[in-house]
Amino acid sequence: MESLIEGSPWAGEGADDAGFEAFWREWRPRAAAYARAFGGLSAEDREELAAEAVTRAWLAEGRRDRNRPFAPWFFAIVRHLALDTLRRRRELSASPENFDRSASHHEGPEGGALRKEEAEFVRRFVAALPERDRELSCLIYGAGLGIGEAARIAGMPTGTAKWRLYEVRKALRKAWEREYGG
Amino acid sequence: MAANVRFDPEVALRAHYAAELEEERRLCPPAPHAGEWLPSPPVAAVPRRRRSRFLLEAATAALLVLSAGLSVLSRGGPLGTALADATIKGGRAAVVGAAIGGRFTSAVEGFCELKGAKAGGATAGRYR
Repeated sequence: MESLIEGSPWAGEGADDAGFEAFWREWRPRAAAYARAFGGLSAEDREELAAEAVTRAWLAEGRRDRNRPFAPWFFAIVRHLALDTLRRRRELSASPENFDRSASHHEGPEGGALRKEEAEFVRRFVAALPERDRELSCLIYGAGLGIGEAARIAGMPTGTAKWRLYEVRKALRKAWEREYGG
Repeated sequence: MAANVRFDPEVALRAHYAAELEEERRLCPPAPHAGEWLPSPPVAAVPRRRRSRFLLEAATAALLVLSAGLSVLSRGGPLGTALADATIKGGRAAVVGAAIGGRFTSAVEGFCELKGAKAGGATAGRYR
């Protein structure tokens, strides 16, 4: 994705509509997807936030240190906006205890149904994660950042991030086995 | 029976976030057009090597102040005469004037160029 930034109109002189359009198409969905990690943000919030993050990143490009990768810088902007929105609203995120397993129903092992079931199971599991774990797993498995970069954005030591991620995977596996038998 | 199928939490999480991103891509509205936001990067977004142009505005302002000072000297008056005596008699005013004139001209040209470039770009608007 860096190629979109470097050596393109984005990178310097001709900041034009076409450059912005391409930038928007690439990074706005990423911002919105990452914003899902923050409980308490509605779909409308995420849309606004993603649009603002993209605009801010575009306008602040001149201040960015180009020796550093773009993605972590961009996600840090998104994070800042998300936390700012949540702080203003003082909303609480969902707790893992609220993980609702009752909605799950077993449809059998057949391909599509199982995939769908698994996807729904994981969606509910992720939604019930503590916000910090959800954010971390989103940065790693969604945004494709390295553990160090993700930890820096989420404001925690790399070792802690590794450990939390391990715990998330372990909890997911346990939840799955509890649901469907080990 | 589902548990018989190998469940990999990492794969499942990646698939989950990939699906979310795909959904956001589908929902992504078109980018706002010029006039709906700030299409031309502001001062901060201008590459560093071009930022020196903005110094020309400050330089132009400073030179205008200097020019006003010179005009006071040339008009005379108690203060003007006293200052003029010290400056003009030393023969420096002409040199200073010439130097300022030259720089002033180039500064004004730079300023005009800057204004022209700005006028040529998209107009600032609002985003939200």
